[in-house]
Amino acid sequence: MVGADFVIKSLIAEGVDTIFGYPGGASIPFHDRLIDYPQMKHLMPRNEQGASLAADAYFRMTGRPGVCLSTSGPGATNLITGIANAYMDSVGMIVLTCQVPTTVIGSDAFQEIDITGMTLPIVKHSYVVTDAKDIPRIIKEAFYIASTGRKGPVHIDLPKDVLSAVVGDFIYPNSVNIPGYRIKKEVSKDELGDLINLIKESSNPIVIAGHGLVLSEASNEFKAFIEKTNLPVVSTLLGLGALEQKHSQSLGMLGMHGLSHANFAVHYADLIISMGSRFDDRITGKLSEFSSNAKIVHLDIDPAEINKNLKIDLPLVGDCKQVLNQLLNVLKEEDFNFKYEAWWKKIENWEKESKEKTQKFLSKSSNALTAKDVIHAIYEETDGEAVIVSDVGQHQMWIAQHYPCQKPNKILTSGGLGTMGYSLPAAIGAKVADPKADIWAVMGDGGFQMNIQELGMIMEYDIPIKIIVLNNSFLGMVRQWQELFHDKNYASTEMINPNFTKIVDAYNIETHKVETNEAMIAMIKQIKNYDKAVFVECLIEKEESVFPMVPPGKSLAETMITQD
Amino acid sequence: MNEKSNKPTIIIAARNEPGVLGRILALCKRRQFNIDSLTAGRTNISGISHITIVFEDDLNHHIDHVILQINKLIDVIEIKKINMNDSINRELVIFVLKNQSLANKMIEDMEGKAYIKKLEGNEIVVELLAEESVIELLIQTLNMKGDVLKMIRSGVIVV
Repeated sequence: MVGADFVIKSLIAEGVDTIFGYPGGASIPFHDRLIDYPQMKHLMPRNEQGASLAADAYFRMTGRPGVCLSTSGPGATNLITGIANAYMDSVGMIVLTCQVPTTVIGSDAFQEIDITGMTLPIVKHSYVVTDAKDIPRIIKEAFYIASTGRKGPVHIDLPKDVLSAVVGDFIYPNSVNIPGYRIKKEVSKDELGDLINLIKESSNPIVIAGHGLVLSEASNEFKAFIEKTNLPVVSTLLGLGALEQKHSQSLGMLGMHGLSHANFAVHYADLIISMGSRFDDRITGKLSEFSSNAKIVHLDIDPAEINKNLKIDLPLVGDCKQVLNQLLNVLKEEDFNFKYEAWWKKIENWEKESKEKTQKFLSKSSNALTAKDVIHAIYEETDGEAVIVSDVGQHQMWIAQHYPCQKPNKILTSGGLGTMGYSLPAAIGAKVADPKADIWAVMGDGGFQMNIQELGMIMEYDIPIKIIVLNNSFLGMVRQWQELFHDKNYASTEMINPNFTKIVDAYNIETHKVETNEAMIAMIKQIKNYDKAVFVECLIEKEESVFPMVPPGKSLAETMITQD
Repeated sequence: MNEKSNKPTIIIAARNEPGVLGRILALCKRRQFNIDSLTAGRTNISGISHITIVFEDDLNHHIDHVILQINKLIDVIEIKKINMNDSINRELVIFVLKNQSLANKMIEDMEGKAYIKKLEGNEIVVELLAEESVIELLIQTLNMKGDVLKMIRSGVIVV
């Protein structure tokens, strides 16, 4: 046995069944040993970035860290975007990079790069393995770190001579010993009491549901808490679905492209309870004017998030699921009869006004096919069971606004980093992770081309996903900003696109093109039960903008509901 | 009240793994903290190092956040913000002076904390081991350009 066997056996001990990997000189000892482990699936992308984004989606679908692997040098640097993406969205991932032999590290050898130096700011921790004997312990630690606390990527660099080194018996450790890594999961009785008092004393309370609720798998506890307290709930982009969006207490997404009544409710609240969200600038608008009248409660597993952007009145460091359980235990002894009638009335009025304003605006606009039409059709035809893997841009915001998630992870998308090119490889990773899920990759013409080469993965492994490209021949979101704030100076945003049909066809994938609402709906109906890959290019309205919008530098109270 | 004691100071107990300093400094650099002095060394506990970092200033008021970030590092066991004036601290300074009388004055003023280590021609090497506040006061009295050929500070250790 050699070091590479230790790596594979350790991964198997951790329950890994899939590696998204791309071979190279330094990885040959590893790939050479894979043949003895047929239970370990190895899928090759066409660019390592595809491997890291596929591993990201694998985690979102299963809750277990995705594993990606590259060779040294350029293979490793191609992973960086996916690693940074996982870091920003707290996605558990194990990144394995093969490296030149230990004897030449630091000498600028062929395909050598200081990849652990480069990933320092975008990983929870990293290792350079110098002795093959350490591999089982390191992999056990890596998985533990990646999947606990605030989850995130852990990077292991494996020099070629370590992978080829002869080793003794494989013994996988039973436990980890990491004295510097402690996670606080629960809060004190006093803190619970303080929270409950704040809720009781408020007249206009609101809850912000964030990704932490999804990562903690706290949907059931959260729903019970919300129903007990009758609080309104707004959601961040990655928190969508933590509470089913059709729930009567769910107001929808808040923030830069959130629903206006959600934004007003947050702005005029006197108590804000954030659970698993980090007060990111996309949701706060102008920080100095963010809910200046509210007391703010912040429940987060990461102590470094508390007081980072906003002064927090009641910090609660803990795991969402466990703290909600603690809360429910206390609340069940309490009579909670607050209905907040006046507050709900206000919120309903805002919602009514915004619907009226939007209706007036819609009746003025054109009849061209829009992204919203496509999103509605996917929802209707799949009863909301489809998992939409969204790319980044205008379509992403329309998906967040118009695809009601009834469960968590019904929308997979790149939130914190906003990585274009996420959709195609992530959809592949999602389908491989959960073959029963109905995966629809929805992207713009820009994002499609960022990782277009992954059509190769779909072709090679027969991955039956639906690929929907919303083509407006523009880098839509940037164009929108240029229209609204830079006098329509469309600098470098007009896309000169190739014939997508010909390209997709070359990968043996069935392709279609639609230009009208009727044709689109008929197409969605046709493909929804396909068990093979299919591609539909939808030619959509060219210069439509996403509303509502909170312009940069403005507060949530200044949400523009429509263009005028 | 001298300047340096207003400089944010932290002490860290960390596992002595390769790269641990790099990770800590990467976090400091990200928030644009400039380092005034940094010391790292072994302790009585095997495998654990003690690190003292003094920053130049905290103009953007991010020191508490950086401390929380450093605390999250896997190799960091403990981190504390320190008020220099309330701490036990020592720093070693080696001066190479041009003239004997200045050296003698320094020895006298420092009341046993400074020693002449070497005499060679006109150059006198003086070694000073003292609290950071004492060193700061002394430096303010020196004519660097006129009398001091070299001054090298080791960086302060705070307990």
